[in-house]
Amino acid sequence: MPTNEARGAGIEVEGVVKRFGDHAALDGVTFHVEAGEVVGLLGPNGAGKTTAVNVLATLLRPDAGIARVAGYDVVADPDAVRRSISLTGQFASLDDVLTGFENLVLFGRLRELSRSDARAKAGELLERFSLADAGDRPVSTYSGGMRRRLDLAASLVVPTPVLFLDEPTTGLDPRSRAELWGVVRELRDGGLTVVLTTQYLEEADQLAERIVVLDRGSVVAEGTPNELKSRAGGQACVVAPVDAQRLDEVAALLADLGEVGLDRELGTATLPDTGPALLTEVLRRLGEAGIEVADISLRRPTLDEVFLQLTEAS
Amino acid sequence: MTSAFAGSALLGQRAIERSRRNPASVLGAVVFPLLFFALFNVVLRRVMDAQGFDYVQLLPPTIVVQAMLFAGMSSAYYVADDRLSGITERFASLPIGRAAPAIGRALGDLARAAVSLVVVIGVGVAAGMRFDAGLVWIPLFVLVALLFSLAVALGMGLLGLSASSPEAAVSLATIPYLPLLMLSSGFAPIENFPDWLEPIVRNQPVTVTIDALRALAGDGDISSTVPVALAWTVGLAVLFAAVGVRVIGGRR
Repeated sequence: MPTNEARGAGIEVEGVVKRFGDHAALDGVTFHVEAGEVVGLLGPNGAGKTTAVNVLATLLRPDAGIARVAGYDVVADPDAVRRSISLTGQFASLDDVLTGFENLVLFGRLRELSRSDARAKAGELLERFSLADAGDRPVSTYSGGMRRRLDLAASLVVPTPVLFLDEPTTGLDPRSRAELWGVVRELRDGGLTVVLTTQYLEEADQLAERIVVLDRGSVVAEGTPNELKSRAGGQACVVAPVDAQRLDEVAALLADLGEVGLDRELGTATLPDTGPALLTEVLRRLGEAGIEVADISLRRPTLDEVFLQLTEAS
Repeated sequence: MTSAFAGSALLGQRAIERSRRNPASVLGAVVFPLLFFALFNVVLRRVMDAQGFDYVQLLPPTIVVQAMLFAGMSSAYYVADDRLSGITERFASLPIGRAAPAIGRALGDLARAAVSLVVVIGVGVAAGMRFDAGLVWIPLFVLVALLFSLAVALGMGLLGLSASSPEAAVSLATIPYLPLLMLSSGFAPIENFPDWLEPIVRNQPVTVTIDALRALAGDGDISSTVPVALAWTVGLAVLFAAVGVRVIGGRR
């Protein structure tokens, strides 16, 4: 089956609840994914991203709510769902003992390819993912980046309309991450529906057309990367006075420039970036007040700050 | 959809391939039983024969059961390894049927046990063991041994489902192994155990299986031992499988 034969299919999640004991990992989650869309599930550890993917991949049974993948209910018709999806889990789930080539053949055969088709497809994918030279080596000898590429290749042996990528680049070096991003972009352009989870705003920004932000089992925001970034306030100015005792003075001095956030552990004051003159204005005021500055910088908001602002807004 | 049968067969092949490439599995299935057989034969054969036992008939069934325990124990390692590597989840997300991974695993366990069994029977026969009850009982001998190993593998698989690492699973698996084997009819006559221990030794599954295998090789009564051994092994296999299904199901 050629790659372009698989066409995307949609996903509907309505009020899904999943509890582990007393803890609700998913507490009434609702979101939709259009056919052929790439959606990023963004959130910190424990937000429920992996649980959401596992419910959609039929690995976990929801306690309440409805989840449909490619039109099939995950509870009523799990086999039809499994035929429509590929899952690339968080830990590059491959057989370490088998070679890269054997892994791909195994997954092809498990998806009903004939022996010769599976072998042909395995060779083709090793080539495409720059693993041809390593194809005959046991996966245990692979680097982290190679494992992730093979893991992704294993999900593409027989293309399915929906692809789940659970934290596909966690633990990768920047170069391997960029390579993997390239592959995911190709898939996106090929029309697959992709749901990827990530803790990195930048990754969601790079790959996803739309982002669903999860926090403690609930959807706290949803939108295109640009929409979310503007809601999160763009860049921030961070000031650290030499004497952390004087943080409150700093806050009072800067109060009229924007909402000042204080981090007493780090000894920093943060305020939204309002323009190119902000930095010099902050330095001027602190200088006049005789407050020495250890560090001052302009930077993009961290995911934590995005979350804080998104949860405050909701 | 890949039929459950085809999926199970493919995963069985995979399990066999993993065992074949794992030096520890090869060592456990082939070298250890040979070593045990040779050592016991050298150390104890004269002593036991002098006491009126026919040691070359008594020893092979014990070594068979020991080898079957060993083969089954590896299952703890493989189950834990698959679970912790995440490949268990990947298999569960494939359209191959819920039971296929477990059946594939069991096929791999049985293949390991079968190789070990052939080695032990081969060396036993070479050393002078005879199937005096008749060659027709050999298939049942093989069946009892393999069912025993399957029951052990299913039980050990439960350890693999909960252990924190494959190595921890193997360590846990060795705990029941030694007492079960030593407190059996395998190495010493049951009469030699303390009175209070005797009923336990006499009726525990390892003894029951060894007795059945000895009977099938011509040393004992088949009709009173084999049904008991089959009941134990099939019963344990069903129990362990049911617990496994519940453990896995409970995680969903």
